[in-house]
Amino acid sequence: MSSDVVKSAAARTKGSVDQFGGERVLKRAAFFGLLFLVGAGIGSYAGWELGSLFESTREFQAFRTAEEKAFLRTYESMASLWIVNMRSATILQDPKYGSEGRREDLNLVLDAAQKGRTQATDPAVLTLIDVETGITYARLGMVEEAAGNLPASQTWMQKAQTALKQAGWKNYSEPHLREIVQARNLQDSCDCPGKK
Amino acid sequence: MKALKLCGIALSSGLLVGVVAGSYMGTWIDGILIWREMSAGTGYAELSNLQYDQADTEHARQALLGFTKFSQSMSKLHSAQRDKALLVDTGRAYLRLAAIEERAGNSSLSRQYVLNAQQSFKSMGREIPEEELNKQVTKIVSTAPPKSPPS
Repeated sequence: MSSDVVKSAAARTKGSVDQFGGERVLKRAAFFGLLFLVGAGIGSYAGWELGSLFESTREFQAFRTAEEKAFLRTYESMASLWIVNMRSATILQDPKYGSEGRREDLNLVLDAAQKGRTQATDPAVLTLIDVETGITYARLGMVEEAAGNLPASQTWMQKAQTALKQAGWKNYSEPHLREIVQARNLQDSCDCPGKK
Repeated sequence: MKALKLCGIALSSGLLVGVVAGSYMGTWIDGILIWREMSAGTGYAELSNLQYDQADTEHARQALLGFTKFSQSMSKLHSAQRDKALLVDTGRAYLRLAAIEERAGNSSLSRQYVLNAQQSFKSMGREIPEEELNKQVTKIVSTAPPKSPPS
């Protein structure tokens, strides 16, 4: 009887030692795993920075003079302007967007144009930014017209006509601008640059 | 001491794996750079073509010359090395410039632009004879945008 009790007590003690030992191993493994993940996180960030620095350096290494740096500012402006223009053309073609969404998106184009205007110094580029601005005004006019805001529509259309007249357009009549905008909405509404 | 050693191994192996993976992911920025290069080139080309179609001769000339200058600078970008669309757009811009000068009676300048267009197409691996390009210029001149009076 007493030997059974001793055996049972010994078995219980061994079980609890095994249990505590297993937990300790698990905790250690989790701690080392966590350390590994911390290292991997820091390493990924450092690696990403190094990789992107390498790519950016390779991309822009030929641009060092003030003139070349001015080109890069124009380059960035044109890229941003085209991306927001494509996005707004796509939204204008998509019936699921309402007037509010379209208005907001077209204002992003105006913001990009304004930013581009502060960065560009070349008169040819400034004229092209005016053209993009004029077309965006005409788009806003058409959005307001569709929303039933006729006075706002008229104001935007007049602004479009003024901008495009200054850009040297021969025909800046309202019907002509509508045609151009519709054609451009169709042409630019795409998710890939270079579509012809 | 042994635990500290294991901590160091775990951390440094994580760092090593992370740096390798992160460096690889960092090269993905190449795709973003190509996207921006294509956007800038297409955006400028589209707007200068619009000016050619819609604006008076002086503004059309300014826009197309601006684009050819812009594309020359762009060719220094690493991402532009494989962009054949930029060379096509540049060649077309030179042909339009040749048409403008042809209409203005500046034959020698028109020919120079034809040669520039030829060079641009050659850079993308297409040898087009000068006579063929002259035909294109004649076609562009004959399909000149109508000169509507401003309203």
